[in-house]
Amino acid sequence: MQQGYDNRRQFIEGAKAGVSIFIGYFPAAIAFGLICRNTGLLFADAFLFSVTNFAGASQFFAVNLMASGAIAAEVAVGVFLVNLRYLLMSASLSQRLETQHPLTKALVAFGNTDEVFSVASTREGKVSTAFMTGIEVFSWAGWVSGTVTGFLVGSILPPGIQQSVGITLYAMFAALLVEEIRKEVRYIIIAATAGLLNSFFVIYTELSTGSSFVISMTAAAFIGTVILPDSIRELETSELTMEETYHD
Amino acid sequence: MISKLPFILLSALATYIPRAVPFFMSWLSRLPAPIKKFLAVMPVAALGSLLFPSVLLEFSHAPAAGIIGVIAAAVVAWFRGGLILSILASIVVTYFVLMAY
Repeated sequence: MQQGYDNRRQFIEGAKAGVSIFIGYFPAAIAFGLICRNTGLLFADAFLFSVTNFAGASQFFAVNLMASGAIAAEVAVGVFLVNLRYLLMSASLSQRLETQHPLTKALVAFGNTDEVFSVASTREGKVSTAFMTGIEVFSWAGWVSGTVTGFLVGSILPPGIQQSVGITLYAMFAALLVEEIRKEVRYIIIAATAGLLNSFFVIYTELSTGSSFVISMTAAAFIGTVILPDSIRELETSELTMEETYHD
Repeated sequence: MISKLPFILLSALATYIPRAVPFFMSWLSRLPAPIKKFLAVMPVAALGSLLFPSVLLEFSHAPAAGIIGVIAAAVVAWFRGGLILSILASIVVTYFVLMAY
């Protein structure tokens, strides 16, 4: 009885945090839906993308690579690299998760996005399964419903606006990058190195889009690891972070 | 149009694996510091490569639109923060630059 009441309370707390993330995800997912439509994906593809991936930047990245004619393996490697940071987040969350049941862990892992992780890591002590269920279900619903909305709204937007929506993806990358640079100004060196290397590979070599990306990103991250001092922040990340929405 | 389902499922797998593996291999939380640092700076490097040169090639008939649009997003993000406002500002600015071409 007590356990049931506790679970329900925890679920509601999680759901409340999840609604804040929902509000943040929804417009970003609209942009994703629009881009899917503009790059010629089917509605079912866009929907399944958000249902099965539930990832921010890496979904935008995957669609972009697909549109540029990359093969599936290149997309998978690129996405994997972009998502490597989850190793750190999941390692941290797994130590604080109350349950050790394998199936529960497998499900909680699916929804461990940057924002879900940020909220979960501000909780005191152990994090319950009920809380994680609440927060993940609502965040996921926001991401999926935004994608669907964006794809459908795309058909009623005038062509001039549709064309300028092509900038959405890059605007998002730029905004995310600025958020990172505000935390650590020297990150600009890493980003610039990555951008310059990638431009060089794409313009002057025969490397495919996917390979150029993977090589330039890895090289720039390596250079950054070597030249930046060890004191830089290690775990916070802010992909698609809407700080104002979940600090209530 | 054909479905891109294989791409989507592979991409899902490439997202799920790094999220799930640490829940089952606890030694991953004790990675050496330099590797943690490498993983932590990875997103920044990714964003740099995602932006360039694609943003210049996206509007190949009007490269200025891409540059100005990205600058608009960066300026709003720097002074106001928040993703939505940055993206909206960028779309509006890009729209006008494209109209001017």
